[in-house]
Amino acid sequence: MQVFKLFMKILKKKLLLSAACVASFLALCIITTVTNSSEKTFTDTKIDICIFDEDNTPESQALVDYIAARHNIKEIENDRQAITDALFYSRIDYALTINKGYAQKLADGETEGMFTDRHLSESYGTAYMNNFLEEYVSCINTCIAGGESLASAIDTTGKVLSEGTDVVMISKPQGSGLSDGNGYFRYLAYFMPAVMISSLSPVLMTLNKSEVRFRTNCSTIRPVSAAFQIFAGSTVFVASVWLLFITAGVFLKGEFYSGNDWWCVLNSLLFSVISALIALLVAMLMPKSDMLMLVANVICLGMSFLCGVFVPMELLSDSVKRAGQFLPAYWYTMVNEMINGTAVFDKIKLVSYIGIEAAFVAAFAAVALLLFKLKFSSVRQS
Amino acid sequence: MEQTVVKIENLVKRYNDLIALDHLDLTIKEGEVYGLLGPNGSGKTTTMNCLLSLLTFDKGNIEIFGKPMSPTAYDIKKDIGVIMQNVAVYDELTVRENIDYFCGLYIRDKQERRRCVDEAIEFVGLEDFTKFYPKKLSGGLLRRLNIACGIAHKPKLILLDEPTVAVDPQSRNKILEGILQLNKNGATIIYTSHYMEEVEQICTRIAIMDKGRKIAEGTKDELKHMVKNTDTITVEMNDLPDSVLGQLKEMPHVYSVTYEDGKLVAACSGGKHNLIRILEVLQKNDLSFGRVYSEQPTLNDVFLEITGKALRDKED
Ligand SMILES: Nc1ncnc2c1ncn2[C@@H]1O[C@H](COP(=O)(O)OP(=O)(O)O)[C@@H](O)[C@H]1O
Ligand SMILES: [Mg+2]
Repeated sequence: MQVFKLFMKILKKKLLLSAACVASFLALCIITTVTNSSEKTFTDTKIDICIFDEDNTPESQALVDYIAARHNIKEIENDRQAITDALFYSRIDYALTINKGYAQKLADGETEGMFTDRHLSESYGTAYMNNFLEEYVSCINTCIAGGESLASAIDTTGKVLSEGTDVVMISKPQGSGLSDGNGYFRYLAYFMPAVMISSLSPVLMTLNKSEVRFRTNCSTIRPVSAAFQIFAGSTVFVASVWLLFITAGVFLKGEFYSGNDWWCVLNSLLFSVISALIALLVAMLMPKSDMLMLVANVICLGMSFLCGVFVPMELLSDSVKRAGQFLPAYWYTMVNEMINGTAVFDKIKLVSYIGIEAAFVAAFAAVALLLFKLKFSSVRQS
Repeated sequence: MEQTVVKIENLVKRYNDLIALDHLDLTIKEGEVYGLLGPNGSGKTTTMNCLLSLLTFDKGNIEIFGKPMSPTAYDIKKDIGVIMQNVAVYDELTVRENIDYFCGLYIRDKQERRRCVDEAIEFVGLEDFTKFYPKKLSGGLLRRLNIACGIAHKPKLILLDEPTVAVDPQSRNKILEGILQLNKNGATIIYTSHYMEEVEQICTRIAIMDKGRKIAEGTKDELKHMVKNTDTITVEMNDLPDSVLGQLKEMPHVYSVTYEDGKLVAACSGGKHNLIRILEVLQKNDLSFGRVYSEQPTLNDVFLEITGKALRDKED
């Protein structure tokens, strides 16, 4: 039990970070649920932003208007020092410059160098703004690719993004807001890996610090027993986070899960296990913990975008979808969309998607075991 | 008859092309403070790692407490304590929690463990710091915590691998005293270092290592007898005529005399009262002199004589 207790003690110290993740997740969920998510998605996370439109074309003006409609625009002098000060004193969260040539690039389908942004912290708001801009541009590109003119593409994009998923849904979600396309289960695909990488990975890395592992290897504790205790600790943690998530879901929904909701519950359990395994692999492959938050962001945001977590699947291009298939969150989202009615419900497909997630679990676990054998056996060759 | 605690026979360890340990033999008896002295890269740490079964080796035999050592020889491991050069503690645990955790890897029983932890804390003098986190401890205190974590389970054999590297002299002395105390309490000690002063100060028997081989072994005095030089006498003087230099060179037991920069240096081999006899010659010639001192050979001289190079040439 020594190692298990140690695991919990260290976890307690590292939990602050993931507690912030969980809190922001729950806050977001409460907001989206209360406003009954068939409306807009993110309007409630307003950020303070200043925009410098250096392109000054109708296209750039459209973007400025669009942002202005949903966020608080602040006037700041366009001066490096003034912007830095404003960011530092939190007068603004985000400074966006629309670079000259924006409209041209948009028309040409280029995406590089359209914007220059400055922000201090990696808050949810700033991450959201980055995503939003990407999403906005890719949506316009998609429309153009679909044969629309630039002006009408901008128009369509504005509508699509501001009216949320309604526009593109195959059928409207029925019933509760919880299993809704914009809802609770969908964002788990982003937050669960984030929580796991920000808390479980550092714990595992601390436990495996080479100096202390040396001591452990010299002691009389059996390596199998130590590994098992760490496994038990991780399981308890994953189970707790998942149960918290499921329980909070009941409260938000106001009623117990029923019918097809249970597929979402099972789906989320599988995905929680996958997230924990991702955190384990990160812990094994990262040499140092100082890059951890960056890695967490890259993995979570990257996977979310490729797998339609923030954007409904319908809006994703085929190549993105094809790439997404190699990621577990894709299948997780597919299951959710099937349950909430965004996609057609098909039990055989549903079960096969869940089977694919289970295959991810097996594959990740196998890789982890192999790495463990290679890197962490108590007797070294050199 | 003293019992043999550690027996290493014919140990060979290769890292690819590099032969880190070259047919090493060591025998360590109960109650010894055994020193492994050698320059960096001579294979001390590799020896320790092989001894602890943390590292595979190519050839050889290792027995501890008369039983063959292996990664799963837990009945041997339970009586070994290890203290390494790098501080190995958890920053997330307090001083007491750290000692308790590492002790708990050996001792399950709660009451017995509490007693052991208390004694370890007292032994290293960290009573006032039990609730501190390692980050809040000074370098010296951190070392003491590191030691406490290694010895709380009352090992009969304690391995220390350069525990005093980058430690200030005061803490270093404390650590050395502590090691002697552990030895007095009954533990056999293996101590590796590239500081010959330390090894001379505490070790009852010393093996000098170079390039993975044991090049000499014995007590401090035995080792020093291996070199020709027994004492080096230095006399500061303003002037020394060549004739007197000649006379000094003729003296029995004096095998080398030089005079440079106002310093007469005479290397002697055996004989008694060499210092007095040299001063007599100087007085007879009516020569005045300043400071006079005589030095015993060091382990560095031993190393120098056997390998032709200094024990520490680059660092320090
Ligand atoms: N893991 C390793 N891989 C390759 N060579 C190593 C490794 N560890 C040590 N060596 C080499 O083996 C020799 C002995 O090293 P070591 O036992 O650490 O010496 P010491 O502890 O006396 O300084 C050195 O030449 C070192 O470079
Ligand atoms: Mg070493």
